[in-house]
Amino acid sequence: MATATAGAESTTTRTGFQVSKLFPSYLTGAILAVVGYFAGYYLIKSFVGPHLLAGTGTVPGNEPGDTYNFTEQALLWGFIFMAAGWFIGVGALKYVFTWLLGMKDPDHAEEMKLAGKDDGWIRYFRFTTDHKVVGIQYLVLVSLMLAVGGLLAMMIRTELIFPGARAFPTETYNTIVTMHGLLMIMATISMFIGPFGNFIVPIMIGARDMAFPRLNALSFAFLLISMAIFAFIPFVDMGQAGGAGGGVQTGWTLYGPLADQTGSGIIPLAVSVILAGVSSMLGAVNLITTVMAMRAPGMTYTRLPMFVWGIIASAILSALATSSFTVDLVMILLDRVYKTGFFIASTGGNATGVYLIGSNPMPGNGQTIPIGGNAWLSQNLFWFFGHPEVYLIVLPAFGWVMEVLPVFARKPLFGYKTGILGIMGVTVLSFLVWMHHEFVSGFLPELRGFYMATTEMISIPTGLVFLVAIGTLWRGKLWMTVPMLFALSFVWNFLIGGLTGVYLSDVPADIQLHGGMFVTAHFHFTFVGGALFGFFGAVYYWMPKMTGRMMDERLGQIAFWGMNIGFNVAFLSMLYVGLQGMPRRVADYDPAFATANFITSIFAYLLAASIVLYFYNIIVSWIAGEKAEANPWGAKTLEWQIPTPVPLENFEEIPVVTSGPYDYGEPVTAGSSTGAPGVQVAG
Amino acid sequence: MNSSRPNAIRTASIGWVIFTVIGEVIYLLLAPILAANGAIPVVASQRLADAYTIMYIFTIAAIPVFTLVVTFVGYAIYAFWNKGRPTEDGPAITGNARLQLTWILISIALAGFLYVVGFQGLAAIQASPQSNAIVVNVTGEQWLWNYSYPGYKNAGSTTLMLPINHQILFRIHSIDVQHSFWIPELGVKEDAVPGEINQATITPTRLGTYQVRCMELCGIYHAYMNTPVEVVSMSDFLSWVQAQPPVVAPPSAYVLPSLSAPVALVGVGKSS
Repeated sequence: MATATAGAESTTTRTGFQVSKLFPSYLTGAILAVVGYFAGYYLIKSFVGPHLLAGTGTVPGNEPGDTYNFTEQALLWGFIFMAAGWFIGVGALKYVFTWLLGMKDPDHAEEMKLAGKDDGWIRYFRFTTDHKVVGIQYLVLVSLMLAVGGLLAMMIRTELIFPGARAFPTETYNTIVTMHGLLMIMATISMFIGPFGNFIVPIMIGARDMAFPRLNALSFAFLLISMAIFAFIPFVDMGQAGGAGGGVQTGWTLYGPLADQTGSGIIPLAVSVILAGVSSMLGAVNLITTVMAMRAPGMTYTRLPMFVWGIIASAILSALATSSFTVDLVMILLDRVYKTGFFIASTGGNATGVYLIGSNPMPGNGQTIPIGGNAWLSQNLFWFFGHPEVYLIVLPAFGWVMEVLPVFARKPLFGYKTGILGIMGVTVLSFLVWMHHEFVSGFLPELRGFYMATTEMISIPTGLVFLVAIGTLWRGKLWMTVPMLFALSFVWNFLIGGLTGVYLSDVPADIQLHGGMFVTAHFHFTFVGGALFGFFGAVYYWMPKMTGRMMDERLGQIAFWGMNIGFNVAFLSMLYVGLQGMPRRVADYDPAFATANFITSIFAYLLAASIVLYFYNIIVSWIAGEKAEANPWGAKTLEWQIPTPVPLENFEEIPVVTSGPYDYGEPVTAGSSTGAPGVQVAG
Repeated sequence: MNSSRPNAIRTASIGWVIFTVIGEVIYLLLAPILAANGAIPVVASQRLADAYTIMYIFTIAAIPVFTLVVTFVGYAIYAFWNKGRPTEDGPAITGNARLQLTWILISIALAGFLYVVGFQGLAAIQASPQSNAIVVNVTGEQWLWNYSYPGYKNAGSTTLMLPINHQILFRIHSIDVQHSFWIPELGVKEDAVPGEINQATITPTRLGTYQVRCMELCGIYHAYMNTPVEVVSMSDFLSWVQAQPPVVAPPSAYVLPSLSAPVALVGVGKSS
């Protein structure tokens, strides 16, 4: 954009390391987190449990001998105190108390200190409010989450390479499936909003920082402690095999009452995912406010870059949908630890007959009383979050693709407002389709027609994104950089993901395919081939601005082709095995499915190797890559108009925006030799 | 450079038509061969045959959409590839109102078509069971299936035996956690939900031994929750079912509701 001011040389001088800067920092946070964990654990285990509830420890109404599970209670409170200790330790609550006690509000100098002014590298290990520091922190953490989640995926593929469940016992395998699902969901939810929503979006709209910088730092602190607690899952109850076995046997859907029955790993899992959900909601509220309130003069809604639209749509979904899952997880915790039975069904003595589901002994849990819960409740709470959540992951990728296609086609975006309609249409519709995950659940079967219709309608706004992509490429001057390749591969992969989704939207076809590998392959085409590859492209695209270094082109190309070939063969083969009738989330399978599974596993290894190569490229380029100029791609959005590295408050003077983000090329008048008929002249 | 390809849209459109025809021909030739060689389960009911017909129609409709996007993007990459970094910009085309409107209308029409096709099948699935349907109570438990035949003195079994060419009404529930009752060859799938009774009907039309698979993750041995199903002639079925011992006490202290009157499929399970 023409009016961006070139910021002066950064006024911050980074000084060396001082021990005093460790107080507070993530080090003190970690220390207090450990202290908090043991305090919480032993408070319950040694004091509250035996003393306050002794003698009354029997669950009201339960059979004698079924006592509260003090170990799980202690674990739960251990993790809650752990999180509390962490927030105190990193200094996240300092300003809450200064405000509470009526002390002086921090002045600008103090705010700058909190934003990491003159802090050197230590600012990445503190509660730092600068949105660019938070963005880098997210980038590293999300990459680690993706790496661990990918490792779990490779363990799954290793188990499935041959029939026979040879690599892991089934209970370990189920735990791996659960962890892979949830970790990847949390990573992919954060992978655009976290690194790029924080680092890039405020600059794109011409703001000096996020609307709520401390909330921003807090949302990262939430995700960090969430991941620390997530790491406990395999180490709790594993191998104790208390009836239902260790680990978490539920898959990422965490359906009750299976979640009430499974191993104690569900305790750290639920606490961790609740914290990640809070992190995601805080980040979403912050981003929405920032875009609504902090835009530079002249940055009207119709001049917002498409990536900002994608992030905003995703943030709206995150803010509105995540709480449903949080409620679900709280109910699971209450069910397990305090025996509430939200998901333990019981219909003792109704008019049509008597069947006492609740009197069925739940293995490993001893829950034996009809309580009156409902198993469908868990499914509905989960999927009311679960379906908006898949668009939460994909919409920023939509935005990113529409963001970079004009840059590398050197043309304005084709149908900018159509693109917005696509993103916002998906946002609205995504709240109306969740029941298609329950077409065979028996819940309100008369509504299946309605949800079939809404699900099929979602193909309309999604299709607009393809129109925008084709129109933007058409007659452009295509510059085949690595981000451009990733954007094009998004079109291919998401096309397959979208078309296979059409089969699943249809009730008769879905009845045959539901719960099988076809579904797994379908959503991996949208999440991995679509969103995740979009993330890899986005890293390549914004790396020069975020780190001041270019990524290696050659390595990027090799990784791109490895990823796409590995991914496509692996998951097309998985679509096939799904048609054959292989169920999802099984450790062992019929030998009839062996060939396709073998192919999937081999090409999944190629995919993983290419992603490892890509991360190697990121690390090597970050350390020793070619120095990047301020605007290596010749893009017109604001983030490229300011110097690299970006100074602390981004803009010395807030820019005044006078034109749109994609004003490439000479305006074409109707009838000229290059223009297609019906061209709208750029305003 | 752009002016050197004045017929780009026409060229790509011809390519689209050609690729669509090729795609459809390959699909129409290949699909029956793949289907006969294990790409899909053996089809042993009209319901499943209808479901595969729908998928078949969807694929025929999806091929032009797929080739449209791939041909136009592919042609754009081929024709407008700029070797190295472009030194000048492309034309400032910001949209084409007629094209955008046409695209939206066609996608609405396509979605409507999908809905109409799907709704036909849905109506058959949601139809009320016939009054003479043979009722089979299906009980999922970790990690096996129990069956009982209330019309035949509550005969109980852990293997499922079904007569051919007669409607079966499954009443499916679970005594512990969610399971999903699926017979791939019959195309019947319904979750077994604790505390609820779900219903599904199916009429087997082919003799043979098939398999019940659990399709909902239900704990440690979910992968092994598969049991055989046999579709036999009515006389074989009757002699088998009369030889089965009646279920006196259901396995884990539950009693199924009275089954004297078939319940309409819609709205089942809400009475509790």
